[in-house]
Amino acid sequence: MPLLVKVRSLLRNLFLSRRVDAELDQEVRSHLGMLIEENTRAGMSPEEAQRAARIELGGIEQVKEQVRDAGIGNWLHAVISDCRYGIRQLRKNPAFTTVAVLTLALGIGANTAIFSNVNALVLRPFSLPDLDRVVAIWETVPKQDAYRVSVAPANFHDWTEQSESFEYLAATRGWDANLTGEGVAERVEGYQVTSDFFPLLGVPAELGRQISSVDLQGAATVVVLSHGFWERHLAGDRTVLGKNLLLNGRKFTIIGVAGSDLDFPAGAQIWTPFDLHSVESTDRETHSLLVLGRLNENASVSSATADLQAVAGRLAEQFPGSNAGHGVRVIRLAEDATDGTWQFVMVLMGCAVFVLLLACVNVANLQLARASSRQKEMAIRSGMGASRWQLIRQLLVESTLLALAGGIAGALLANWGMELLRRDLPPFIMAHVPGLKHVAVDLRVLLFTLAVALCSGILAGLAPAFRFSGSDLNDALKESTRSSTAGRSAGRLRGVLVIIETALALILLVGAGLMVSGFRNLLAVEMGFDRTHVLTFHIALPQEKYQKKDQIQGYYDRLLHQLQTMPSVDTVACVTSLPSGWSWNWTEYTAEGHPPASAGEVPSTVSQIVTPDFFATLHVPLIKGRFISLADGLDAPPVAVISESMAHANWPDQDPIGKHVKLGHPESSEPERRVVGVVRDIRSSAFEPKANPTTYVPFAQMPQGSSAVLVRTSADPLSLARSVTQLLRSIDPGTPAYDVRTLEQVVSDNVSGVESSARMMLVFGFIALALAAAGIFAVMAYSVTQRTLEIGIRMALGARPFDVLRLVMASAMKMAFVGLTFGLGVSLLLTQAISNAVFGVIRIEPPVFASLTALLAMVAAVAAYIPARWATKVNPIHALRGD
Amino acid sequence: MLILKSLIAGEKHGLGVSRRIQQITGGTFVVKPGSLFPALHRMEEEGWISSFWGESENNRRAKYYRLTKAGKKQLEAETKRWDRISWAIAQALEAS
Repeated sequence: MPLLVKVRSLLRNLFLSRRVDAELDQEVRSHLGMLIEENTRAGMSPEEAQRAARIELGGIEQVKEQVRDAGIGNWLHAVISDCRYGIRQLRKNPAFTTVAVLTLALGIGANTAIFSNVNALVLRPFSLPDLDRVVAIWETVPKQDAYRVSVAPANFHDWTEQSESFEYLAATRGWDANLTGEGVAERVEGYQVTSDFFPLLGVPAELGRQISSVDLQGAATVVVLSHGFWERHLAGDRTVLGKNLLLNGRKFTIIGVAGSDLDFPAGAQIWTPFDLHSVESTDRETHSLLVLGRLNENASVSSATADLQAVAGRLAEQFPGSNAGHGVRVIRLAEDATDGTWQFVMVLMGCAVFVLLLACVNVANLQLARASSRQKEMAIRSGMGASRWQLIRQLLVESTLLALAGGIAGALLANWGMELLRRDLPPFIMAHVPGLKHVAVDLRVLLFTLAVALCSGILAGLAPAFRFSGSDLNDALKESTRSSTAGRSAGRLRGVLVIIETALALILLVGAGLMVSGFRNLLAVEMGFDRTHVLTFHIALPQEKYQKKDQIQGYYDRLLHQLQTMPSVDTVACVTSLPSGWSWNWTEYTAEGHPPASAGEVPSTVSQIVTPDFFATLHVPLIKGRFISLADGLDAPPVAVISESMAHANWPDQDPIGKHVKLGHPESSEPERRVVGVVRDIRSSAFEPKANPTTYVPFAQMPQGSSAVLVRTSADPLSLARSVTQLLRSIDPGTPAYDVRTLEQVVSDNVSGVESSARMMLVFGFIALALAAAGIFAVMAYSVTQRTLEIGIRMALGARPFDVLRLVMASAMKMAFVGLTFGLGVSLLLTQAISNAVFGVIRIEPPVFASLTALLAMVAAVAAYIPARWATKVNPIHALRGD
Repeated sequence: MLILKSLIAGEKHGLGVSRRIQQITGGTFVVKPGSLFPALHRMEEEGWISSFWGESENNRRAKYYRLTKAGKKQLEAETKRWDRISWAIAQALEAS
C-alpha cells in the first residue's frame, strides 16, 4: 500500500506539477490568512496582525521551496527544470555556447576517435566468442632470447595428446596459393588448418560447412572461403558450394563460406585442410606452425602454461637434439596479436585525454568569464530561496548540457576524422592489423562518449560552480558592473586555469613534436640500401608445376632476362625477403672455428638467397672480396657473401674471406659454404636497433620457388607495374605478380603505424596550441576590461602606454612561464616513462623540447599582446567617468 | 511523531496541527510553517496521512490532513521507540 501511494505521489509531482504547485500556493496562503485572523482576534490591529503573521510564516516562496525540496521525485523534477532553464540561458548567449560546444567537441571527439581504435584494436581485435579463453601458443628458446618461435609439427602432436588444459588445440600454417582460371591470375592468402581450427574459433559458417576431421583423411582438396573473398570474387553467389577453384593448378572444391566475423589469421582469404598427423608427425625441426588453443573451463593461462611446460620438459629429455632448451609460452590471443599496436594506441589515448582536459579547462575559463554578468542573477536566485547546492546544481547542469552537445558534435567529428585517417592506410596494413577493419563508432564507443561527455561536463563546471555559489550575496548585489580591480579570488582561479592550460598544451605539443620527429628518424634511418627508383613484387611458383631445380631456375632466368631488356630498366634481382618487408628468414648456422657449445645454443643468421645483381640493384657496397657472380652456379663450389655484422660476430680479428659457414641445423646435409665476400650491413627494419647478421647465398645454388623481385629503373618505378604484370602473364599465366610496390612504399608502409600516430598527434598538437592561445587571450582580454578603471587611474597619474603594456604583458607572461615550467617537467617525465614502450620511437630530444617551448611562449605572448594593446588605448577620462 | 499525534483526535488543517502541538506540549514545541509544511507533504507521500480541501471555522478554504491506517501504525511504532529511548535516557540520568 504505502509503495503505491509513493508511486502515485511521484507521478503526481512529475506530471501534474502545475496543479500541485497551485494547491501548495493556496494552502500556504490560506495558512497566512488564518494566522492573520487569529492575531486580529487576539486584539492586534490589522497591520500588526499581518506583520506578526508574516514573521511567523517566513517568506511564502521559501516555505513553498522547502516543501518542494522534501517531495518525492522532486530532485528529478528540479533537474529537468534546471535543464530547461539551462537551455534558455545557453540560447540567450549563442556566441559563448557555440565556442564552448565546439571546444568540447574537439576534446570529446578526440577521445571518441581514439577509443574506437582502442576498442577495435586492443579490446576486441578479433570478433570471436569468448575471446578471453583463446590463446596463442609459442615455443620459446630462452637462451637465444627467442619467445615467439613457431611450433614444430611433432611437438604440436605431443601437446595435443598430453595436455589437459584445452577444449581445443589447433594448428595452422600459411599456404598462399596462386588462383587461376577465367582470366584471373592472382595470389590469395591462404592457411592450412587442422580439424579443430574452426570449432575452436567458434564462428558458424555463413554458407555450407567448415573444415572438419572428415576432410583430413588423405587431405581432401576442399576449401573454405572467407566472407570477403566470397563477396569480392564470387559476388556473394549463394550457389558456389560444390564448385571448384583452381589453386596452384589443382582443383579445390568449395565446401563453405566462413562467417563475416571470422578474420583469422588476419588477412586470411581461404582455408584448406592440413593433415598433420600422417605427413609430418616426426618433424621436430621445422618450426612452422601457429598454434591456437581454447582453454577449457578449469584452465587459466598460467595453469595451461604449467601443463604444457611439463610436456615440453619431457620432450626435451626425450629428444635433446631438437628440443633441448625449448619451453612453451601461452598468451591470450588478443594480447599476442596486438603487441606493437597497443603501445601506440595507448599513447594516443593518453594524449586524447590531455586534449579533453585542455578543452575542459578552456570551457571552465569561459564560464568563469561569464561569471561577472551572472553574479547578480545568482544573487537574486539565492535571495529568492535557492540554496547553495541548488545554484551549484544549476551551473553543473548547464555545463553538462554543453558537454552533451559537445559529445554529439564530437562523435560526428570523430566519425568523419576516422574516415579521413583510414583513407591513407595502406591496404596491406588494413588487412593485416587485427581489428583495424572493425574500427567504427559502435554502441560501446557511444557509451564511452556519453560517459566522457558527462565527466567533462562536471569537470568543466566544477570550478565555476563553486566560485559562483560561494560569492557573498550582499557583495554581489552591491557590486557595480565595474570595480577598480578584478575580484581577487576569481582572478586567481583564472590564473591557475591558464597555468594548467599552458602546461597541458606544452605536454601535447612536445608529444606531437617527438612523435613526428621519431617518425622522421625512422624514415631517415640509414637503412644501408638505396630505396629510390626500385619496383618490387613477389612471385610464388606453384610447387606442383615447378618441382625440379632446373625448372625453377629456367623460369627465373627467363623472367630476369626479359625484365632486364625492358626499356628504362637498369638492373634486376631476386631476393628471399625484402629488406624492411614483413618477414625474413632466420636459420641456424655453424661457423668455422666456432662449434656450438650445446644443442640449445646454435647461433642464427638471416639467410637471403639472391641473384648476382642484388647488391648492384640496392647499391650495397662491397667491403672485401667479391660479390656473387654468374659463375656461382649449381655445379660450382658452394659460396656465400656475408654482412659486416656476420663477419664481426664470428671472425672479429681474422679475415673472413675463405672461412666456411654451414647454414641450417648442424646435423643437416647442407654443404659448407666458402665465404667469398663481405658487404655493408643493411637493416631489415627501421625498428631494429641494429642490423641482423646476414648470409647471402647464390640463387643458382639454392633455387627457390617463391621470391621477391627488385627492378631498378631510371623512370618512375610504378609506371613499370603494368608492363611487369603483363610480362609475367606472358611467361606463365599461372604465376601472378603480387604485392607490387615501390621499395620506398615498402619502407614507409613498415612505419605507417608510427606515421598515422604522428599525424594524429600533430592534430592534437594543433588543437592544443589553438586552445591554449584562445584561453590565454580570453583571460587577458577579460582582465583588461575588468581593470579598465585601474589602468585609467594609472594613465591619469602619468603612466605611459608602454608601462601599461608592460603591466599587462608581465602578468600574462608570469602565468605562461609557470605553466611552461610545469609542462616541461611533466613532459620530460612522461617521455622518459613511455620511450621504452614505443620501441624508442619517442625519446628525449632537447631541440624539440626547446623549440616547442619557445613556440608556445611566443603564442602566449601574442595572445596576451592584443589585449595589452587594447589596454594602452584606454582613455583615462572615459575610464574614470565610468558609469 | 508529534504531527501524527496531533491528528489522532481528527482531521486538521496546517495551522490547526501547529496550534494543537503547541497546546499538547504546553508550548514547548512551536512548529514553524517552514518545517511544518515540508513534513506534512513528506508524510502524505509516505502514505501516513491523507489530505482533502475543506472549509475552516471562518469559511476559508483550507487543506485538511487526516491520519491513515499506515499512519496509525507508524505512530504506534514511533511511540514505542520513543518510550524506549526516553526510558533509557531517564535510567541513564538516574544512575549515579
